[in-house]
Amino acid sequence: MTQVPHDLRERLRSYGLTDADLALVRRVGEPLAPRIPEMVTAFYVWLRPQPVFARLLANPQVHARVEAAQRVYWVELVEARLDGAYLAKRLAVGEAHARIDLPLESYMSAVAFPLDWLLARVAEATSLAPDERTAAARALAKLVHFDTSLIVQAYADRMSAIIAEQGRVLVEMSTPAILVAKDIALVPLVGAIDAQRATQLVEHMLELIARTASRVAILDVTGVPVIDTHVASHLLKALAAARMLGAKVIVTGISPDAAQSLVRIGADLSALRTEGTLAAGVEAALALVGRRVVSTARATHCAAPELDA
Amino acid sequence: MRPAILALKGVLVTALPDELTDHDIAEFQGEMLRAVERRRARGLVVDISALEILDTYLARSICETAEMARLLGTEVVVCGMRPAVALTLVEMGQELVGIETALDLDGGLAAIEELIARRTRALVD
Repeated sequence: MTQVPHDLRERLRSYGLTDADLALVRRVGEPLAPRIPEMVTAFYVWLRPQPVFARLLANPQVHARVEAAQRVYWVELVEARLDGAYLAKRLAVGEAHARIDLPLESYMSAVAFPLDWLLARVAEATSLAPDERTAAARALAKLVHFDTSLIVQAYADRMSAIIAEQGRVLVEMSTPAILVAKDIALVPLVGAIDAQRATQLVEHMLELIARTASRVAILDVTGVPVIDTHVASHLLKALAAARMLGAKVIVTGISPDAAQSLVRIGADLSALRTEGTLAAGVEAALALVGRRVVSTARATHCAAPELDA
Repeated sequence: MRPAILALKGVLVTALPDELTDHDIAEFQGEMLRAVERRRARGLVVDISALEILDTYLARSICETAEMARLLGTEVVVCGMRPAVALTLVEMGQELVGIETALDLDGGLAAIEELIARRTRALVD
């Protein structure tokens, strides 16, 4: 067992798997290895009525491949040669199951069948003394548990990776900054604002203001579900930052509920210029830069409707 | 029991009846703010000439509502306060801090126009 990598040994120790355990598994495993195909066949008889089976193994080619892989998996388990390759293979198996969206719960229940089958064979192994049988069963259970922990880890790793990726995508797509008219930048905020996103959106806003030499920035919070003191303080920071670039900030789209809660919690927003709607905000921004929207004579029929009607 | 909220040239006008319960006040505050949002009002005039008593709770609610409405982009004027109510408020040290007031509804409507114009100017300055 000298080829076992250090972290694998650590891991084996934390699961209480000794070299003696593995030797015992190998001893009972030797006569069992040729019978693994029989176990896998029985396993599919048991699995067939399960709905998840129909969904994932409808294709006969896929089915044949999975069954072959499964035979190899359990033969390797009873051969119990735990090394780096064994570890990597278990993690790959877990990753593959997680990738096809097999519920972890289904995986766990599917492990119960082979474990039970193996334990039953160990119990009836006449070549062993009764106390050896007990010890072998315990070793086998520990090894299956160890294997399963690797699978669960692969599931968890995949989930963390997905969550991290989604978080990154979300942050990127939710903090755009747009030039709506000459001198007027718009930053529409959508979704919950946390410290990280707030920093990002202030960065985007400042970058746009600097690049386009905008004089007004409109922060539209229509899409922000909850506006609390934290969000309010981020808005005030954005305002202070924009002011340093010589731009003014107008906040639009605060809902009645948000206005009520902000005033009740005593957030000091006296420095904020607010307008009810984005449309009013754009008008106010135009007024700030000394322009306004007028109807042209030729197209009066499609002029914007009076906002305060 | 709920007071009507009328729209007049982009300005909302409402009158508070006497003897509002604290619950009524809280509900009505929400209603006024929702009306402001729905009608995209630029101003809100609240007539309180029917009020014989203006207690601390209502006074604070009026101040809060004005601040909330400002966050929605709307100015607020309170008008028609009875002299006895004004006297009591001052004696209690509960003046409506930061609220624009007017003598009657005519004055209230004039004041709201002035506030709206001032808001626009303030933006440009």
